Amino acid sequence: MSALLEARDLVVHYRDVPALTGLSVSVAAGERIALLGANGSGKSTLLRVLDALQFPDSGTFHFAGEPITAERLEDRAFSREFRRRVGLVFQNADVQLFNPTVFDEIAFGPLQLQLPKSDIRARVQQTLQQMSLEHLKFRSPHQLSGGEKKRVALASILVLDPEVLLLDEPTAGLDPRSASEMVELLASWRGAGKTVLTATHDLDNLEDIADRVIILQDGRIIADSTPFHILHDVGLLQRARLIAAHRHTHPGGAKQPHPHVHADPLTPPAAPTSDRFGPPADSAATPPIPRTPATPRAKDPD
Amino acid sequence: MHIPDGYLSPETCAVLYAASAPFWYVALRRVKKLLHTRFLPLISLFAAFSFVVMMFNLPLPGGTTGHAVGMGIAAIVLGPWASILAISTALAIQAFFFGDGGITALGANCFNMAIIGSLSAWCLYHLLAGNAPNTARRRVIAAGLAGYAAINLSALLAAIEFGIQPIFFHDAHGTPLYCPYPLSISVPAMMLGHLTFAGFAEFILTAGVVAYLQRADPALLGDSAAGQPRALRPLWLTLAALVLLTPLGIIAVGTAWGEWSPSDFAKAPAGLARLSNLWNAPIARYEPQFIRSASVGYIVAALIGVALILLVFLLLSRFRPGFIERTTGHLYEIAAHSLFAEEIARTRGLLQPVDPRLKLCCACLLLVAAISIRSWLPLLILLGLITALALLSHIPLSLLSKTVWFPALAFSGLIAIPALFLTPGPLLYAHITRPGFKTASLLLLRVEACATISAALIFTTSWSRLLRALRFFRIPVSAVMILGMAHRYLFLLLRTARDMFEARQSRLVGTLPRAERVRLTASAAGVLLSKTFELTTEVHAAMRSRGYHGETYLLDDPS
Ligand SMILES: Nc1ncnc2c1ncn2[C@@H]1O[C@H](COP(=O)(O)OP(=O)(O)O)[C@@H](O)[C@H]1O
Ligand SMILES: [Mg+2]
Repeated sequence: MSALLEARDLVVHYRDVPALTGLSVSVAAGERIALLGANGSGKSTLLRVLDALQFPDSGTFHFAGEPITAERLEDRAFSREFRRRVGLVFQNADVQLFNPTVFDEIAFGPLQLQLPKSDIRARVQQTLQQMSLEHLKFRSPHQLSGGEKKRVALASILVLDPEVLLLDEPTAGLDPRSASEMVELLASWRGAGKTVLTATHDLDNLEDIADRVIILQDGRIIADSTPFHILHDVGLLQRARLIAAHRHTHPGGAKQPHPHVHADPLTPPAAPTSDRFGPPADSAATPPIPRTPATPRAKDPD
Repeated sequence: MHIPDGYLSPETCAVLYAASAPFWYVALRRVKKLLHTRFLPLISLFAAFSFVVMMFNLPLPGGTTGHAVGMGIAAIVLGPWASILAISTALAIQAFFFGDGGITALGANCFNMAIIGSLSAWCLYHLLAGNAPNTARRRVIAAGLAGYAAINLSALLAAIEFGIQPIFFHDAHGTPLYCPYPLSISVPAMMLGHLTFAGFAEFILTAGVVAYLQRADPALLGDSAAGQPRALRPLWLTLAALVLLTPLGIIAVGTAWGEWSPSDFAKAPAGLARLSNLWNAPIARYEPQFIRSASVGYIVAALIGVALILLVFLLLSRFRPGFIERTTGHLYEIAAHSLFAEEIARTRGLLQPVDPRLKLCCACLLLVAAISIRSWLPLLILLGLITALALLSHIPLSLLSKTVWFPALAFSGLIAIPALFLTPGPLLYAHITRPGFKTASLLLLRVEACATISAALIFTTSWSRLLRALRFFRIPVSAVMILGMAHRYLFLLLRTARDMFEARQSRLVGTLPRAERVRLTASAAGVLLSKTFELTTEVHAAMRSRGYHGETYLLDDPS
């Protein structure tokens, strides 16, 4: 089986700071993967390497069987092809919105790839409608809210209809409602055949956005499994600093320290999202984890 | 130091645009070659940075405060060529978006501040710093002196541009039609102001930021930031040649257009003698002949003129709230202005639906007309017409008077007052002379008309449409991209700066000693500079990620 993205023994340093320390990962076409890891674990760096914005100090990265190097990217035809097939949504939306208006922003990618102008207009229009950004078309980025900025940033990539989508913390910093809208959007790609890698801290919606979860720590992979298994491994999540054992007040009464998961992996998809912001579902001192894989939505068979 | 529309004759403006063009061209080519694809985000973000830094208030001696232009820092960290582009972009945005500094005078402003300023700051910095290590104290001093010298050189050029106006551009009776002050007044007045106040502001900012970078980010002081030219001497020579040639060029054109004869040289200063007569008259009878001679009268009159203008500058820069409040106040004003402008541009007024290309063309033609008209009745009619158009386009009268008319009146009015008395000619009323009245009212009317034309354009056209319209004038796509990106990140940096100042303000109790305030402002500028570099790297990555390879393309029409 040939992987679409194949990274081997990636090592990346920023001056002396190690960011990736021998990371290998292989991603098949159509997989939806969540990258978990505490701040500074190397998620953004990995995504930048996979988007060929940065090249590893050592190790290799192949895309669709082709080795990706700085020299290879100098070839205009190849780099255009690569940029069309792989898109990265940056963690900081402000960085990605560098055009004067939303319209120009979404048109930037297609213009760079030199699609025919009439085609570009149609595509941009379609994307604006899909992402319900029509009314913001002539706004400047500085006149947008945080949620709108993220949507525009995503739209500016989606307009290219890339096969591989790399998303760096798409829900970080959003208010609960914008975050859940974003998650709904990501969840809607299930079965769309897109390869999606999402860096996130958001354990609550893991099952909606991914079929496979990779946990990074100190620049390497410490776990690679299904969302179900990962979410039930409290020890692993604690080690990766993704959850904390801490004190909080239960509806009934006294404070007591206990380990717990900030998510109920069994929440059916239709459940109201506000659940996540209410008190923990159970006041038991141990995490309430039934041992049946009750998730109703299985991985799509393509 | 930003020359507004109306002070310089059309000929002078044209010469200075022409003088700037080759520099822009060379800078664009060199920077593009050196930086490859990184050049676009770097210049854009640095233009935004310069713009924001120009808003910083620096505490100066005598309780006053002042702004720096930031050409010193830009030249030191970017090299002279990239700095020329960045500062020019900042000035263009100020002129086209905020109506700050003239559109017809943009060539002059860019020439003085962006081109001569950057080149001289860079040369001097490298000359003074020598091979001192990046962390040497010597570099701090060198940077401060480079900034100080650069802004003074720019001011000197501006003063010369002002000062030659009455020589070449006057009516049949010798009444000046543009800036009313001859070299004998404009040069000392500008230089006294800049050698003391504005020069200090530039010194403090440039030295302070370099000192900050030595502690926080010394790599930025190396040659890594952008293409730094190797050889100093050619640059020096170019610079020297330029400084010498510019006035000559203007004189040459003035001769062609203004039918200038050598006797005119004598005329302008001779006019001052009238004022000196006022001074000399009571004692004339008892004094030896030489005191009444033309040269003494001339010197006395020039001194009085200079003193009056300096007084105006002092009045303009004193008696305002505390310095942090003023900086944040400025930063808020910019954001508010943009909000207003976008809001009015969205309403359905008379000018809003007009094609922005047509509007831009008309505005430029009207500006040229306004600075070409040399009598006050047509100017008054023009002003009335534009005001009517502005009102029909839903620009509120209050906004117009608060942001356009009053500031222009306060600034140019104060500058024009001494001209009432200084311009030679028959008396009109008390000590006001007839030509004095004419030249002062002409200047004021012209400045108001130009400011109103700019405002009518700016308030009825959203920035993105204005940008597209620029394409119509065959401005290169990359220049349009730079303007757009600089304007966009301007707001991000404004916000960052505002947050920084407000965070400090919230921790302040009482007033800070001056040294502390200086350090605070300089380090804020330093932090902003580091952030600008970080942002540049990130934006560049985001651009490449979507296929950017150095060429830029635009859709001509969004709808
Ligand atoms: N531009 C940079 N310069 C220096 N160090 C960096 C830079 N970007 C990231 N790092 C460091 O690399 C490590 C990995 O960072 P990153 O990939 O951004 O992690 P994450 O996205 O998981 O938070 C961190 O230690 C971070 O401090
Ligand atoms: Mg990150």
